Amino acid sequence: MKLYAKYFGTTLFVLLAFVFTDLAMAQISKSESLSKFVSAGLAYKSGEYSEAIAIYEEVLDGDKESGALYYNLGNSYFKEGKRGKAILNYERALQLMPRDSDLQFNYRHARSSVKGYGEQKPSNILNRLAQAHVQFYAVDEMVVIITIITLALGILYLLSLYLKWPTKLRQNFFIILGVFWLIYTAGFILKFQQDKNMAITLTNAKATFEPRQESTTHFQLSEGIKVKILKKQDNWIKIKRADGKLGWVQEDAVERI
Amino acid sequence: MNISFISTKLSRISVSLLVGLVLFLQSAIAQDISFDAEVSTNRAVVGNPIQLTLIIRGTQKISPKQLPPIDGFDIQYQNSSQRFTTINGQFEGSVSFQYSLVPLKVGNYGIPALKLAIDGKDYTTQPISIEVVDSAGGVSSPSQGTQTSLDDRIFVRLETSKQEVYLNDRVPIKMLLYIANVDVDDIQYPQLEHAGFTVEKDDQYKKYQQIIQGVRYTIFEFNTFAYPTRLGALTLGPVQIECNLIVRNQNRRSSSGRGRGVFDDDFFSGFFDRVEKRPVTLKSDPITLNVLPLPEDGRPQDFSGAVGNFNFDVSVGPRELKVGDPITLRMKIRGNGNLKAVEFPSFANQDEFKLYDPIIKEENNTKILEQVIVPKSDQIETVLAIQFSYFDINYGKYRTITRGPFPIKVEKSDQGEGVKVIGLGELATSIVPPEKLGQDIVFIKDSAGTFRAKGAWLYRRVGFYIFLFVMGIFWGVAYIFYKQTHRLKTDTVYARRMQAPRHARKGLMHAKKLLEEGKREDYYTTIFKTLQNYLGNKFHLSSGAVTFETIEEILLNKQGADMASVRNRLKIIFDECDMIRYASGQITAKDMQENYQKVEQIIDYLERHVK
Repeated sequence: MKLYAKYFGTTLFVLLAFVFTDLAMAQISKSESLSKFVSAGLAYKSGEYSEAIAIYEEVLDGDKESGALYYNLGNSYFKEGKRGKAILNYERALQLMPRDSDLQFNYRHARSSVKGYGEQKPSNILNRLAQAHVQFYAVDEMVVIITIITLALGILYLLSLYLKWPTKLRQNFFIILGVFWLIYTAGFILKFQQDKNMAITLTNAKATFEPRQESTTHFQLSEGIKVKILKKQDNWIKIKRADGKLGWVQEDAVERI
Repeated sequence: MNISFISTKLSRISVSLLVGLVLFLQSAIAQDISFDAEVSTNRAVVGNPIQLTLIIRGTQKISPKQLPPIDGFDIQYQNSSQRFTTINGQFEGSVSFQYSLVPLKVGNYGIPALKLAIDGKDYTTQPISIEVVDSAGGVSSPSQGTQTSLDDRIFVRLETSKQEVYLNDRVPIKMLLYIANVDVDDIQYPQLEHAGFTVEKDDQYKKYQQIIQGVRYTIFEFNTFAYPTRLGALTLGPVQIECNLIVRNQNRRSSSGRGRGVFDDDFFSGFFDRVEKRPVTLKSDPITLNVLPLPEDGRPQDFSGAVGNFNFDVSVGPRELKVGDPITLRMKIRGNGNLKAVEFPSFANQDEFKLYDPIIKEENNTKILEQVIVPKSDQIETVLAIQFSYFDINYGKYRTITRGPFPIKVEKSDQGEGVKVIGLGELATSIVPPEKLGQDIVFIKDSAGTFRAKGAWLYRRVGFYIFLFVMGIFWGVAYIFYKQTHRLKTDTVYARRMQAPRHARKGLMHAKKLLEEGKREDYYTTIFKTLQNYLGNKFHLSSGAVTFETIEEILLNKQGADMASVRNRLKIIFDECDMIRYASGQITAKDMQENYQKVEQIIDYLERHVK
């Protein structure tokens, strides 16, 4: 019995250590991040965009992030004329605060100046609904909603057993919650798949047929275009443009969202 | 009664409205009648039917017509359809008749001009030629029913109205994309190869439909102008258009399940959408233009390469001024030609004026120069004449347009001869491009929101999974507890079996007490009852049915290494319990102790080995 208690104690300690690993990895504290955020804001307000960028990046190097931080960083890059970096940071901000109207405006504005193939609007109504559903929530929000529905399903099932609910009532509850569970789980998987391995081009780059400097140019990529990373080979990356065209670009031409 | 009255009235109103609408439509239908024939394809495969559609526009009072026999085809009438369309507020009615034509033999056949008489007037269709091939004859997709290759259904052509042109001449170019019986999306602006030419960039296009050889094509027409910059036979094109074909993928379901991950991209992107976009690049044939040099005869001295058909205007103002005051000189060249290559003539009496940098702008076939000139002295009386020469492409010869001279009156300046520093006049400011409003981003945020470690999504945190695990454990415990209590309530056999050891323990404790007190008879009564209850509960028997014989029978069917010794011990206990009734004196305290241990061992053994 004592042996069990000892094992249990060790296991709990290891698990708790995992839980707080986030804190252990962070290099700067939240208050330090906040003070840097404020001073970067002051630099931005006085037109010192490059200084603002440097301070915002320091916060990110300190392993801290927030939606507003990416948004402000995106703004600073936009003011510096770096459209690709601006769109990249707006994309990252959208993952954390997808319904922020200022962010949506700036994101659209930055993307309106991108030439060439962007993302194509989905063709049918179901696809459009699915996209709207997926883009409305942050990943964490979806996870919380799915967890709540799952717990509700479990608790309601137990309640229905203990309180001896009529079968019809129980069925109705489970059908309704089950449909919601399916919608959100499918949405989560779709969002996960869509956001996986996406990147933004940081310069006006050429995509070639082969991962070699002297290879023939296949197509052009404007700065700020969203592409999917398929694989990496040495310092070349195979990408897929929204229209389905595949090509190789140099590693530093794109950055993962 | 009231209700029926109202409904009768309503139905009368609706009937009269309907009649009125029909009359209105009849009267509003355009009177122009046309008769056209269309086929679904010009290349057919023997045995695979193609569709012939006869369309009569401008009337609907037509009944289906029997077609005359057509050589090489078996004809079958299919159906008819009527349609109303509004064009600029005018209704147009049309009626279509569909016929199925089954090609019978290989060869070149034709549908002759078909005649139709409407209201005493004859209408005729264009004849259509059809090539019938064998199924092995390189036909791309016989399964789809459209027997033409993709090249016949979507192609690009490059056209120009001129074959021989002069250097710098304005050559109208048409880039035409033909589409028939195929869905296309994301059409890109054509890329024209134009080595030796300057090409205007224009994103405008026209879209219309045209029946060619009986097939209805949707045509995208991109118009532009090319200006040859070299002499000789120059090749223009090919023109290249990129677009996406919309392909319906019928085998998606079967293919997505084989050899692919369940969460593959394609699966999810195709989850709601069963069409697929396939990018294609279409190329036209190039065209060759013979570029002629401009004639040497009659070439003016000041000719600077303008070719086309132009007007030239010059205005000077104000004409009365003081030394140092600005004059605006405005030259305007208007017409068709390569305006970009056109240079403005130089200003003649340059020494007498101080010249400021000109502003040149170009819009709507017009090129305008505006320049501020300031007279240096009051002796100046004229701005000298200005000449512009160009090669008139319509007449094939050079022309020179002269404007001026313009008399001016310059007075001495009140402030002496010094030249004023001036900015550009009113005219110049009007050239500044219009102000653009609201083209910037929203300001930064003052609130940082909640900071978190980078990439610390909930689903990546161990704490989240611990929470789920703990919740799962709670749920499992609650569920098992429910199941247990529920079974105990509903399953008597199970409930008795579960309760058997608990009751036995109680009985044994009581018996032990009696044993210690030495109450022999009470002890045996208690131990017998305990054993009787235990065995009754364990094997679901009534108390009366628990005898050694019944229990022995049950135990004979049970497996166990010591089952025989258990049976023996059980027999001894039952015998002892019987014996106590008539020979209690023979039982010693030691016997009772052994008896107690035996009962305890039997219960323990049965609990552990008999379920």
